[in-house]
Amino acid sequence: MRLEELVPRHVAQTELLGQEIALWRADDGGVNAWENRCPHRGVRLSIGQNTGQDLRCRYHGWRFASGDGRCTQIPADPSRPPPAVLRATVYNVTEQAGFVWVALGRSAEPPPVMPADLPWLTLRSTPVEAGVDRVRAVLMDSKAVAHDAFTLISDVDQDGAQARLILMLQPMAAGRTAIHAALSPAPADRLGVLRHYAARLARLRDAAEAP
Amino acid sequence: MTAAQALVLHDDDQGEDSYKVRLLLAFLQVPHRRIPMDINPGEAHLSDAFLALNPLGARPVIVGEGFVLRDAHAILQYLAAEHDPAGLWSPRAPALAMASVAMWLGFAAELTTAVSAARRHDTFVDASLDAAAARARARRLLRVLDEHLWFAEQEDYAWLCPQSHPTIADIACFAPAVLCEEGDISRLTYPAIRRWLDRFKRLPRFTAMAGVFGD
Repeated sequence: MRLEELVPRHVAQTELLGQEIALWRADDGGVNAWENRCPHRGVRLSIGQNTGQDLRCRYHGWRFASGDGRCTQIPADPSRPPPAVLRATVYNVTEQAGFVWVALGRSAEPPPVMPADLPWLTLRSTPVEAGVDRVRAVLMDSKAVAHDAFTLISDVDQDGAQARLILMLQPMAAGRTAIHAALSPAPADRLGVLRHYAARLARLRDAAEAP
Repeated sequence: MTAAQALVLHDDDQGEDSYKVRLLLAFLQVPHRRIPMDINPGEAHLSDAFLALNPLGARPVIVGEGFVLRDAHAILQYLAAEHDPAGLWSPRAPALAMASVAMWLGFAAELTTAVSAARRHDTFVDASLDAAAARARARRLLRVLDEHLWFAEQEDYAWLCPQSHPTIADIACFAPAVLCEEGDISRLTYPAIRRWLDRFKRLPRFTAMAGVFGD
């Protein structure tokens, strides 16, 4: 997900390989990616409240701390601290090149084709109701070159020079994929370029969704 | 008794359209009397007394000194014109701001029809409605709304229309957008809508309803 979209006191919601994820940024800047499920009653944490330090479940008000996801408060039982084993399921995150990268298992590594030292303009992400293989095939028809299973590269003309467009596929679930995209160098006409690629990706989305 | 105090709202506490009017009444702090209607199972909207107020049977209706007004969006416009002299909620100028509000009110009417059909099918078990078609329509509209709100953020606008203050168009779109998950329409792929719903819920005097969490 684009880092910019983790706004203060908000809980974003996404999905990776069929696993729902609640994403939120604490006031100290720390980014959290948790299984979207309260360990108490299984309610989605993404309808909860980002208090700035912890995430408060909407159902019974249990609070889980930014960072390790440890339960810090159970309002129905104020007499003692919550047991240390009570915690949200926390995933590995990396912030780089304008995106937050989440891994369900191993550490979250951004693809090496997106060096952090280049100035990237992150484009609008496009959710597509089609599987990742279908989306990749449609993108390759549009002249993007597959770099690996989830990353494609396209060299595009911009302001009379060559720019690099990176397309990254997030397999949300079977039959659902998000296309994330970034451009380097950042163009002069930022808003115009954002609109151009949003429209272009919407056309590719429609092609991928066509029966 | 002043005209404002005489205002009566015939209110469907489950309906998207009645919620819109309750929201603006609260934002503008308009004194009024609320008459809750027993729609399910009472079918109060089909009673002779209510059909005399609105032959269409649709909720809400407001009744004031010497007038009856139906259609949620018409009521929003009336309340804004009458009780918001600064014109923040329904700008009359510049021309494009006024037109932009009208455009999004039209969009909100379509979104409300689609979400309402999906919700009533799921929540109130009305099998006469084609829920699949309603959901598909709602999703097409929510996609448009999400993209619009994403670009609004890029231009540093928090609301639907390029104004620093929310308008009745935000209210009209908020109600169906915040209730859509009751109709099995997930907001998972509409992150900009989710952020805008959060902003809206943090407005002073925001009021929740059944199925809507405050903040």
